[in-house]
Amino acid sequence: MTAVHSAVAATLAGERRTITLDANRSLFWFALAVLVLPLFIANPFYQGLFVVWAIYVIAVSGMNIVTGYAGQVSLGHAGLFAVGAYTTSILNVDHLMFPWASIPIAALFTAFVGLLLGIPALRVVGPYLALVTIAFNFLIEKIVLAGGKFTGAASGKYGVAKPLISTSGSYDYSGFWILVALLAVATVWICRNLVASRWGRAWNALRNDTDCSRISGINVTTAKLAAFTVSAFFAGLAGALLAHYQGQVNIESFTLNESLTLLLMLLLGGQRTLAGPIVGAAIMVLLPVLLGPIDAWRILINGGVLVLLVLFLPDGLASLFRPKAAGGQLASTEPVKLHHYSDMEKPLRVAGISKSFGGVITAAAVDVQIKPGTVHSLIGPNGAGKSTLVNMVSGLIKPDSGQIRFNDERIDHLEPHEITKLGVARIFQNVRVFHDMSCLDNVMVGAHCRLHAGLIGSAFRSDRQKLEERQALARAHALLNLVGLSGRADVIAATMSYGDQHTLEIARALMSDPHVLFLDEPAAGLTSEEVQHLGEVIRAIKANGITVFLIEHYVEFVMDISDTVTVLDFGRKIAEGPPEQVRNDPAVIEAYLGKPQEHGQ
Amino acid sequence: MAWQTVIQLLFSGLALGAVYGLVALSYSTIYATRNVINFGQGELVVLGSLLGVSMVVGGKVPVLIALVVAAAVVALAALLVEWLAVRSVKEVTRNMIWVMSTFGLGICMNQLMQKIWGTDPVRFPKFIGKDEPIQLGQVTMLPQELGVIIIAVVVAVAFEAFRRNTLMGKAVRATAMDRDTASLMGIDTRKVVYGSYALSGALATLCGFLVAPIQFADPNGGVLLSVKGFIALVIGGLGSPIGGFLGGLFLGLLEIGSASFISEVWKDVITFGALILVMLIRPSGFFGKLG
Amino acid sequence: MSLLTVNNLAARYGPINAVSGVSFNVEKGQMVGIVGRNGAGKSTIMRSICGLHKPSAGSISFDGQRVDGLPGHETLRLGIAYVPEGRRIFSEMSVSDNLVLGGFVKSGAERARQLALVYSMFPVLAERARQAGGTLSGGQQQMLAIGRALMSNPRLLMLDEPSMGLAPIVVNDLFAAIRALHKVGLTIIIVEQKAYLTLKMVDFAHVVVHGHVTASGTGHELLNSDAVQASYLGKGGAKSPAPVSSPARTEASQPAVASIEPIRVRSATDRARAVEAAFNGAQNAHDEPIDIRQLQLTPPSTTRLRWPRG
Repeated sequence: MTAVHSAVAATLAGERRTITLDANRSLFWFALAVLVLPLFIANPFYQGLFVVWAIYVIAVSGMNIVTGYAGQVSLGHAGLFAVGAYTTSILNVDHLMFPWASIPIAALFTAFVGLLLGIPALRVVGPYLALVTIAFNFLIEKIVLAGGKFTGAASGKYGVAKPLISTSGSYDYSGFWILVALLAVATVWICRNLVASRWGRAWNALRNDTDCSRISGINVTTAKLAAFTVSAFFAGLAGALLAHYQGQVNIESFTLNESLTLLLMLLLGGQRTLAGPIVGAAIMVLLPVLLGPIDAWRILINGGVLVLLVLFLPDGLASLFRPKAAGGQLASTEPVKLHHYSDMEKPLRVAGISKSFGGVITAAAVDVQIKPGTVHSLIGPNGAGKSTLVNMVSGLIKPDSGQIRFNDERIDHLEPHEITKLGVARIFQNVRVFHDMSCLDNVMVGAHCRLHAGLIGSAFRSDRQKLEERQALARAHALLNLVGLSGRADVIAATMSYGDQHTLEIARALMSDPHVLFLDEPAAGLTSEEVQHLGEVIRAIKANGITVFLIEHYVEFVMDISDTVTVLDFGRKIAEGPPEQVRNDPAVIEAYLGKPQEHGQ
Repeated sequence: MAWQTVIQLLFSGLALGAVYGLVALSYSTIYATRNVINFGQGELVVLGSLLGVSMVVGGKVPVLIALVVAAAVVALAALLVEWLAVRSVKEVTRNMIWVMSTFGLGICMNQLMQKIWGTDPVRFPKFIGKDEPIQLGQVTMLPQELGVIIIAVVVAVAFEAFRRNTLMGKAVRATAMDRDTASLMGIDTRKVVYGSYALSGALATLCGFLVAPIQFADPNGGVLLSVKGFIALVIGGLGSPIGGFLGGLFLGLLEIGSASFISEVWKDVITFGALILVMLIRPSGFFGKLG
Repeated sequence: MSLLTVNNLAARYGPINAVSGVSFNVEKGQMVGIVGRNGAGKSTIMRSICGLHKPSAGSISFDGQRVDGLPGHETLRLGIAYVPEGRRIFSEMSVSDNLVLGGFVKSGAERARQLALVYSMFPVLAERARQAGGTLSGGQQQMLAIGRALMSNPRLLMLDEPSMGLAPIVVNDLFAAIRALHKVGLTIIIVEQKAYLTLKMVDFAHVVVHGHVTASGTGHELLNSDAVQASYLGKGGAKSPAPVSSPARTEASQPAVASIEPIRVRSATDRARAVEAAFNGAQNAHDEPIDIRQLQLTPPSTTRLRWPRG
């Protein structure tokens, strides 16, 4: 494969390199600040601020995952904060449990509550979800107030003990800040690992485009619940630490205003960055000190800052600094191994598929058999139901009747990510890439269903996870090579040309090692050079034994590249066979142009 | 429990529910044309009631005139929400940023109102009848409550009639369904949107005037109203204003019922619990479609 | 003066040039067809005229007045009614509500009169007046969409792919109705994929390929060539050359269709070849697309009845 095209070079001018903070550097400076600096500060009030800062860093780093990366707006995060604080207080005060036990239990219980909170998120999005989170915040508040002696109701709980830590040979309380600081550093480290793992990619993907995530092989349900659980764990941990630090809890400090503060910490510093929560928490913690006499207006200022931030600086302060691009691994020069399937018989059969939308029949008893290892195209006039067919095969829509069988197993009832895992991949008609993500990350998302690392493994960078990632990375680079996008690994997808984005989608689809690849109008909007390039890519894919199913309007292209052509009209198949036969079929001509009658023929 | 008490509770619940229903209605008018929910809507209601207090109690202005003036002010405030928090956001429906900006703006309004009117709830004199309950057969009830129910139902019905039967109402519905095609009919969709905001503000003001005499004009009550109004909308179904109103009635009954039969303290837990239940079972509500 | 003049129109969707250098006129009382494959840019041209899309270059004049860049509700008031691709009726509203909305800008009396007219043209709509628009069949929805456009008593009616998704027999009826509208003097632009049917019906037509007008002529002329088929289904046999080129090449070498010189044609074969070349958008000896108007004159169709003026 020698094709690297000048058209690609022509568009390089407008592209932007990936912005990624140097995560290791942030981590280092933070660790330094929070572990070493307090040693030089004598005033206990300011020492206390460091502890509070560290606690908020834990909470907001968690919030970053669910709101920043996974895109699930959480306006009631203080509720989770409260759950952690109250759980440990109740265990410690009423049941005399040691903080060493009650803190982890509180964190885990809050994680469980977060998991429950994630369940509505599976069914609703956007403003509804925001409402649910606000209602959740209120709910926790009301439960506490109604809890009588159990929760201390309006008066709260007192006498929460600080864990004993040895700093100078004898057990005392002053080392508490070391514990908190270490936990904060650990949290930031874990969050970094998660974000860099397949989970982080999955969260980014589902934030960008949920349907596209599904067909890329991501189980969106699992990913969303994981995001909620992880962020709740850290919120609970932070809340528990706060309770022990203050020695008391009161529901007054966990109202909607507190949720606003947490949200601001996240947004001010910058979502989706490692340093964002750190910087944001620092600013907000210092705010009462900075505001001094006008502190009474603090909440108003918070509200105003939120509005201004959201409108003018949605990426927070982090976007004001131009961090250098991440140093990536060198592109592999080995050719990619796409599995040879030519000796395997894995036909895809669409049998008697029907679908109607509100009385309009989009597909009627369509019957198509796709032979493995061939390029099979589907053409038909506009409104003939072609895209609906692809949507049904990939699982985004369920057919009203009929079956789709892959390798003689029914797949029409499966979820999109399951279908992808079986080996049926697709790309979309209107190019759908993950806009905020780099080329490389876009392609890596395709590997999601082939990787196995769990949350824990990813959080702590187990050896198996590291090995998996290396292998996936090598394959991704090789695929970028194959489709002609090598050297553009760090480029943000949104800044690429339309044709390049299309090619990127193909690379992503190939990453999941498919047997069959569905391409929905891949030539739409492409220049003729890009179309030629596309043809070469398709031939390369076919040469590797992957079956290609193509839906197109661009008839010359289809006739050129296909082994078989099927023609649909009004959702019905009207012709099928080799290109030459179909092109001259009178039924086909009539479908496209209308009856010629006496004229012209 | 005596049946008379039940009837009284019923009316109290309906009165409260009528208020929630009007809040839901005021959400709908914006949502229908702009696909946006103003998370600070409750603050507009509170603003209306506080303005009312200042004018009626402080300025001795007749209630109806105070209502009109307050409605005008709140309508302007609603337009301000659009201008500040929504319009500046590009691609309104795809980005959910307006959730946070309206939320933030609502908090700002809340704080400003607290600075002006203080943090304590203020009494709003009942303007329908006096403080003494009246006797209807064996049932005693506050005339204000009865008045609230009647006014709210009339407004809701009139609103629905407007939407269904007048040309302008149809134009508004068309704009909500398909903005581009609506403009092909010669409808100036931008004016429709602005009109919707103003109407939303007016409804919020009416709501404020109706709820304050029953409870209080509470500068801090905005968020709770926002949330409950939204819950009513969700129960009824986002696409259906009349559904939202009915959802509000249901919510009011649920709340008063829980307060009386279970406990005052747990009533909100039940209300919010109901929301989450609806979200899980039937996110599109009982009358509408998911946005 | 032409009723509608489109001059050097260009329009884009983000980075994609959907339309460039399109120019044509529409005279009062004419029916003009714009045919081409899916994705050729036909709808974009329509949407630019009626105000749903802002052109990036060029001008559009209606009855002497510049209309490019005007929003949709203003072009309607000027007399341009557009029936969108996919019909876009308000499916949750009744048939009569849909129609009434079409007459939004008119007075009550005018609306009533137009409504009676539309019901007499399409009796099936009268039968189903109270039904929700979404429950109508495809063909009936199309009639509703056209009826709705007629409610504003337009001077120019633009139809975007009216035959899409409809069975042939329904299409016949529909086109009969459109022909009737033309007969009474309404100026119509019709955009279609179904080229043969359209070319039979129109006075004049333009073929659009990849956002450019590659050939223009009377319906009759374009019908008589195999080139229309070629532009849809490609030439048989060897690999066909890439069709109209990438934007970069276009801007450099493709002149506007408006400025064309007449081609000398000596024989029928000559003409056929010229037409074929035009449809392929390929280079002929003169390196320009050909305007078939210059090849043969056709007398304009006479109009007897006038469409009632409000």
